[in-house]
Amino acid sequence: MWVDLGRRLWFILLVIDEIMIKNNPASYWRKNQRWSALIGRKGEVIASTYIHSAGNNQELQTPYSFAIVKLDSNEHQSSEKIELMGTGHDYLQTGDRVECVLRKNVSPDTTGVIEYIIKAKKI
Amino acid sequence: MRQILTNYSHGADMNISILGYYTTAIGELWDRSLDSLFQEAQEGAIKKAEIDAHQVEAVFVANKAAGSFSGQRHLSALISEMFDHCPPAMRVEGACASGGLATLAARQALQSGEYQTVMVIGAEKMTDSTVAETTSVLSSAANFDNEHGSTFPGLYALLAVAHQRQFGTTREQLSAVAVKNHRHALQNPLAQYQAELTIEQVSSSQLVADPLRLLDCSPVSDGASAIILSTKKVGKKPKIIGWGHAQDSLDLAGRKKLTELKATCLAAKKAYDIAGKKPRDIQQAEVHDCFTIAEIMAIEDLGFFKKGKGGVATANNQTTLGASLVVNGSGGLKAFGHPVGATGLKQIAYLASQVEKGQCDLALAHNVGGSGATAVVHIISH
Repeated sequence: MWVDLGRRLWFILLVIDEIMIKNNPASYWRKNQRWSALIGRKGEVIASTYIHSAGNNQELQTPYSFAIVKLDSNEHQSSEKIELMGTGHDYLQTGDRVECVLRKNVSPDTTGVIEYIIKAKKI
Repeated sequence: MRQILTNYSHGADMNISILGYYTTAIGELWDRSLDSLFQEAQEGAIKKAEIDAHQVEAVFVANKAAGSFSGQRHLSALISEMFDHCPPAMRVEGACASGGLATLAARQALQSGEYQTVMVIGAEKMTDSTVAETTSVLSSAANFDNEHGSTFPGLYALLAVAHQRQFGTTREQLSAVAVKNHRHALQNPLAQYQAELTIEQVSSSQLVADPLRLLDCSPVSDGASAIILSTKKVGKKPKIIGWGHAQDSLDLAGRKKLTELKATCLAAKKAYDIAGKKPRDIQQAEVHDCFTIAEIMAIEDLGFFKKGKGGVATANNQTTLGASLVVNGSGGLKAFGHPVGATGLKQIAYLASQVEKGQCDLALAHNVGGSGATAVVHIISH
């Protein structure tokens, strides 16, 4: 029993460690470099799914939409496709118009950086 | 392109024989550790090959995530020490395509002339973790920065949505893949699932990522598989006569089409060209059905059916046992199981057994990594 408990605890620490590696301040700062280029951009959903079961990082947010969005071109930026989570429990569908917004990413990690990410909000 | 193909097929005239093969039982093997699974596959393949273990000159190890699932890295050394002579060993990782890629690496080493006999071995121990933990580990095969929030079912769900929109692929056609593969697994004593499903059961199972449901998904599995390859002249042994490997964008947003896996199309073309065969020549295929939509897309991308017709063909029993083309006769990833690092090898091991038993003359193994960024195809014959 103690061996099993020890393995379980070790695995939880490993997963938290991996979350910390991914979301350490330097990594988080690097990812943020694109925020200003994305916030406020609009586009169209070209494929979408509604995720009911997710991994540790997103389990607290289920159900949520996950979509491929084709962003509109503008005078400064060309059209591009990106993959985004939908905001809240919004149900996104192919053809929906969406806008890139900054939202807090719910995480089981209570000690690391409070993470914000770009999500797609239906407009 | 011609130059690339010429280079790629270098050594194609050199026979690569499958001397031996072995796959453990696949399933939730709570009483088995990672190294005990490796050990069983290693010993089983050597016994089947009827060679002395010292004849294995090098080992290629396929595994996706033992470091995360079991806390075990440095697998090359772990496997090498299972042999008295500690042969050179290296680990190859390409997500779910690790087994196919390790086989490619082994073939290249053989055809370079450095070795004459090598082992390719793969294993994964996944069931010590919770579903959420496993989902997290598996999702690390996606592009973490560009696909934040994705899950594997989620990515394949996007492909399913695109396929349904363009070709009208139905819920029943997706379910027909699961029903067929579970039926096939009834004849495979090593398979994780030994139970028939109905269309209704699949179609009404719990939604995981719309439109994919729980019974559209391959399971979380433990298991190992090994093959022994050799360039030595041997008698009637199955041979690898064609191979292909291709890549595409890791993230789905970077792909031109969502209704096909370009890497599969390219890998298959290379394999057919090297083997001098056509899709219509293939009698048995083990394709990467990690999700039901993945099999439908695979049998189209491999050239067995026209684009958009894979679902109809499956529902019409054109890929089941007894048909001129049997797809996933072992039960596939869906019902035989999907111990990630072992999957590409258990496909080849199963097909080698079919060729050896005279069940077919020409077989194809199709192994995919991620949501289709990596694809490996092998063609096996007498």
